[in-house]
Amino acid sequence: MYDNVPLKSTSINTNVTHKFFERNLNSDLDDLSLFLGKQYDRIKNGEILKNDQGEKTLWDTSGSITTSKWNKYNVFQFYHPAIHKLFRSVRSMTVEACEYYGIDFEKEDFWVQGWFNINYNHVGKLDWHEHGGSGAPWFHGYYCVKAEPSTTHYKVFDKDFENINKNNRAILSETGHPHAMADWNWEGPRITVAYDVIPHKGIMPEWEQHWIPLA
Amino acid sequence: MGTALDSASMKPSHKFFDVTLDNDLESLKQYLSEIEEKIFTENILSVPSDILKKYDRNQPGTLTQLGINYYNIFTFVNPEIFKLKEALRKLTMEACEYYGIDFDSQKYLIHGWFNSDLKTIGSNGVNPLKHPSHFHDHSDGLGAPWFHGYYCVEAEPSSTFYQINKEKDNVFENVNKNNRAILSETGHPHGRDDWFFDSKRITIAYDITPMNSLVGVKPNKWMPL
Repeated sequence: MYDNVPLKSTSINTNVTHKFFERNLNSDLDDLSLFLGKQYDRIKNGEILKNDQGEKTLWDTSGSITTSKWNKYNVFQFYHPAIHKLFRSVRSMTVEACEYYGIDFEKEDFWVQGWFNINYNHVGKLDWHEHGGSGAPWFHGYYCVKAEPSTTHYKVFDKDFENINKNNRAILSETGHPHAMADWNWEGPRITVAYDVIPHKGIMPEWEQHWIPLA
Repeated sequence: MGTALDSASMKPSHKFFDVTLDNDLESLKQYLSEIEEKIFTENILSVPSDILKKYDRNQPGTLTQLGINYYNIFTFVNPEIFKLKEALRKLTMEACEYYGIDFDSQKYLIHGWFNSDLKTIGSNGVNPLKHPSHFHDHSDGLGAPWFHGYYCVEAEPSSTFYQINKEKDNVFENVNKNNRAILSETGHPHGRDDWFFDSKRITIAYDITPMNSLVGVKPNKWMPL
């Protein structure tokens, strides 16, 4: 089913039960889908990205240009009410996750990098992967714009977990738990917005300047 | 204290909102100095080379112009800049309360840049009281819910002059204090004083705008507040 062998959980928080944090938003998804489709074309046409030399990336097999070039832009710098609402929701989920893991949210100075994925059933997929860090305070999540019916597989401390996707729902999980997109068997695009949330201490100076304070 | 109303328009009178941070300004100054150097020597903003050549870093306003067109200071990963953005959210909420604006429904975005200005020499003066053309405004001077402000990294001693309600004879002198961020509704043109010191005068400026004014605008510069 997948090209890669699933990785093992690397979270150091083995004494805390893993938890997904979630928010159900009530955004206009038809409008957001159209909006993201337009931005996809802009990125494809080289109108938005900086420092893009057309390099090959690990994510090219996803078949989604906006996934491959995830670190050349930040979706939270796109001007749409649903994106703004998602930004605030990511912040509130991070606050909740910090409470759960006993982390002082204010002291970590969290930054966020977001991108969007547009996948088709005949062009690639997001295989097993991870997002760096070894669990909280490193977080990752995604928001379903158009991803029903579908699932996302997680390896959570070596147990299989199937996350049944719901449109208009944002989730957040600590990193350290590999995940993969299940097959998308439907006509038309599967659209999600994904985000990494990491503390200031985790950002490397050489990274692209697209991180935003989660303040 | 209640909101003061302008008797003519029944709109609240102009007010500055301010907050003093406890940022390490020496560290921030050093950081911004390195960024400035990299902008010109490493082109970290990816400005097309033919355009970058036209920017003279020794002229007043050069970094300001680059900032307006090519970057958002709040994407620079730095703890002091993080604290500033955090403070500006709270300051904008305070301003919204004063003007009777629903902060959440505005879905505010912020764009910031930094100014690094050399000593005023000869005809390079920018004091708007002597050179009125240096009075300028932001966001078309529309007033609240559009806001603008600045944060002083190294701007003492100096002042910034505001033409309240665009009235030539109604000038307010804002005496600058390092580590203080201020916010004002737009619609009150302003300009900084000349700078008479060898060290650079450094401030971070920001525009804060409701999302509905950016519909259809090419993305990638503003960010959620």
